[in-house]
Amino acid sequence: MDISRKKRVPAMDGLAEKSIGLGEHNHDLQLYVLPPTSTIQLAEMYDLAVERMKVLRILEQTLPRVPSRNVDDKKSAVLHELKKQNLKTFAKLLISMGNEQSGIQTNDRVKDHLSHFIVRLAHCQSENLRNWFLNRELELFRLRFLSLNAQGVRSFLEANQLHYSPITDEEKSSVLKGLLSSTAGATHAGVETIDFYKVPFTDVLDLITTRKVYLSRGYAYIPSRDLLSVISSIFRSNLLRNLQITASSIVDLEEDERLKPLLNLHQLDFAETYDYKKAEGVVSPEDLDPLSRVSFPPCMRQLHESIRKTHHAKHGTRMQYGLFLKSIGLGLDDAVRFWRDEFTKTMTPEKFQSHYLYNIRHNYGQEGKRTAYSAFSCMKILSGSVGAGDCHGCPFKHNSQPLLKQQLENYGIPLLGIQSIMDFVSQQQYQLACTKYFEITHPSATVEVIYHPNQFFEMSRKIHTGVDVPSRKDFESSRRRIKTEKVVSDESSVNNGSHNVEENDSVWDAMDVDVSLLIEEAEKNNKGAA
Amino acid sequence: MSSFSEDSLTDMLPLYYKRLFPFEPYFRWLNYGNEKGYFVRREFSFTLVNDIYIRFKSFNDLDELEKDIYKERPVKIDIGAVYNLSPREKNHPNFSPSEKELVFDIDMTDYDDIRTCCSGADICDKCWKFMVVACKVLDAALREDFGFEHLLWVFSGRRGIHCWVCDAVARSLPDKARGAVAEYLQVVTGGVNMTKKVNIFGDQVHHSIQRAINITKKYFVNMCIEEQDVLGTSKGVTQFLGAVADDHLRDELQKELMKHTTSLDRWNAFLAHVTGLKEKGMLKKRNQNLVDEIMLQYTYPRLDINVSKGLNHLLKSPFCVHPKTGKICVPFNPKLVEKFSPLTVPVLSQLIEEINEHDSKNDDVKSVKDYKKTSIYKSVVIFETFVRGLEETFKKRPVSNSMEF
Repeated sequence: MDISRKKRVPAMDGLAEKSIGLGEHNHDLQLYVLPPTSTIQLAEMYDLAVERMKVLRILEQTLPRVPSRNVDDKKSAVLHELKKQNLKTFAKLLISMGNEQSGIQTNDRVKDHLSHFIVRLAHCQSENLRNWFLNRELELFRLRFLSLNAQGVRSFLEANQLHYSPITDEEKSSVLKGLLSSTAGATHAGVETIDFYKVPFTDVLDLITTRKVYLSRGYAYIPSRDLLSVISSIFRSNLLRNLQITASSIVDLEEDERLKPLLNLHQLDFAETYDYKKAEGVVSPEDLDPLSRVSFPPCMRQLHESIRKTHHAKHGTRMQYGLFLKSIGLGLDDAVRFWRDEFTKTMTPEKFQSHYLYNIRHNYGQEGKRTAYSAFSCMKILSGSVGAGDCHGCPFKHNSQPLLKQQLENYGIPLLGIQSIMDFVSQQQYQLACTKYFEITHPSATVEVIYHPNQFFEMSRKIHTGVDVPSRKDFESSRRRIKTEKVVSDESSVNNGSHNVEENDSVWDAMDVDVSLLIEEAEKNNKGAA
Repeated sequence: MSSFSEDSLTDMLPLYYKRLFPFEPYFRWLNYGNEKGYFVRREFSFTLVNDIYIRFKSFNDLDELEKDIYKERPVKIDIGAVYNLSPREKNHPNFSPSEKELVFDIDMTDYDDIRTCCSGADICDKCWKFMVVACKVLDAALREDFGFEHLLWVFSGRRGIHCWVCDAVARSLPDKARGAVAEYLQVVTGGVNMTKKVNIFGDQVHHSIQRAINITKKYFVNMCIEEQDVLGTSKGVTQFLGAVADDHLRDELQKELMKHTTSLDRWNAFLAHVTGLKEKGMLKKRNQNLVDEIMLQYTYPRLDINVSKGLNHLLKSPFCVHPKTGKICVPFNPKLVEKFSPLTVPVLSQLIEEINEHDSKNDDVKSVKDYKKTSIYKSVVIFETFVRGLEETFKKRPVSNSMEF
């Protein structure tokens, strides 16, 4: 095996000729259907992979922190980071309008194509990795699709043989009433003039979820601007299927010693995203009452108090609160003790044993698929559904305003503070409301925007105890450092067969999903909890 | 009706499975025309006496299923997903769920904050009306909006209903799509800490919401205002007005409503005040749909959507015996849901008496099938009609790939 840097061909030279999947390179944006068939130097392959990993990391870290819902704001935040890290090709690709003026060379398209497939290879082996990769790639795809102009969209559809054609005027008038009442933002004049496409409802799940489209007999009637929904759904299902196919054929690849560093690429970056084991036992059930008053974000304090009061918790609460507790360092045995002590105030120990124990152990990866689930981020909590009778969720969003005010008053927030929090609530800026809450309860602290309950908790602990729990920023920069070192020293790591990143500082939930961009399933968390 | 005691359950269950459980149509249902080796890859799970819970059971055919049920006498049978491999290979690294009916679960306990007649496990014909409305609203949405046709509605044995959507498209939906359908159908949102649970924004009302409004309108006054007497107490009034987000309007309405004493008068006062404001153009934009929002908050189906979202979520099988009530989880016809009463559902002990009574009076003991001698007959007929409808689709459709979505 030799992946010595000396031997490598200068980056990207002649790659275009080597790659046969030409159909993939006739547009700036691609669906990555055909894998590359060219030969490539290992070292080059590795560099490409690392570069794309950097892009995906940027998406993961940047998007949840953009407080605005505006796509352009999100895109410019990502663009800023890409430029900062000197990822020029991807910066160009991100804003390409898909026409001749984009300045994208075939080499850039090839780079996009190859790097996608290499990183895909490294992320097909487990469900967590697949989901992470899938969600990041989708975010990237959607941002890029939204950069395309009308001509860019048309040529994209053509290049990928996506034959969507609008419904006829006759059909339109037969469903006109439905189109008017159910198409988000539709006006009479608008509906008459714009094109509608009739697609199976499974192609536009995000429009279904939010009830923004007319739906009849299994078909959704979407206005042309919602085509993005359809295309991303195609992108998604394509990629998901291919990831699974790759996963089942990777067994052969694993035997190829040369590829090992590549398959372990994800470890460099984000394996073990939340090392709860390290912190396990730091918190005991007895600590929860005082901690909840001092350092819990309101979403968790509310759940804690509800459990203490009712001695019960519905599924959503057990997930949201249980995973939070796990992540602040409540060990499995302690968690079982905490829940059992409460639940058995209203039920027999046998019922607890048979109905709830599994769920708790499952959260700790001790049952079912044995996945170590990570704690919910604000995005996940805010976008989750809260049914009648549930008390999980984000108090700033899911509690009615009079009740929220009352709560804040009980938590000892001065009236002036309550007013400024409620201002954010009225603007639906829930994370900023929570940040304000943090500022008021932790005066003199410098605060970053709250995007994760565990971030809230750790920032608070740092202030109260003076112990330096590594902040996300510290951690990221240290990790970035590790990553670069890792890349530089890849030969040695390959040679001695060690790919483990020693540092496993606590970081919250790198696997989470930005649901403001995509509607993602709440799925797997329910698995096996039946 | 004969009484039922939990202790006698274990004595009667073997008899029930031997003589009454409709194995034949049950198998035909889950076999789906032997499509893609469906039945053998299906997970069943049994709850045995003493709360022993066995997951990942599977059977090669009807005979095996029958024999195992005779042997194990499960107190409860749950139906899970169809997996890519036989559930016997559950430890295989690639073992994962691939298909299942799209299911819905509506439980009366989720209505506890708005029903006054009963609470918890209890149920009466008054609060059952919530289930009637739920069934009508969901049935219409699933058929008209999603185009599903093969819907099996089942009484859950005590205080709720289940719906099994069995169309091929529904069975092959991935988790994400199930989540989307479930959320589309979940209109009442916000937990115990949110007093306003239904929000309709703007002047266009989505067609599915409008249809739900049209359905619930027919029931709301009689069911909620009169029978549940939701405005009969000042506590009820406060809770009701919690759904008014506007502080000023809420205070105004509070005063208006408290001028009256009965629930109906208060409702009429509410209507008069809000429509009065609307006609004068003094109702804020935000409150334009207030009346509809409140009606939906009190009547729209409250789904346990976690049950619907997960491909591998188990759900209690039709024709189970509810261990606490002894009632059979019978299918019912959604078109006649108004005539269905949870209080007259066949109870296990009663069925067994009915067989004995028939046998003592007639001499056709052997020639007549046991279920036909009892009040479970009607439910089996409903079930068989459903299964036959399903089987029509296998005849029509040549064996080929299912719809490519």
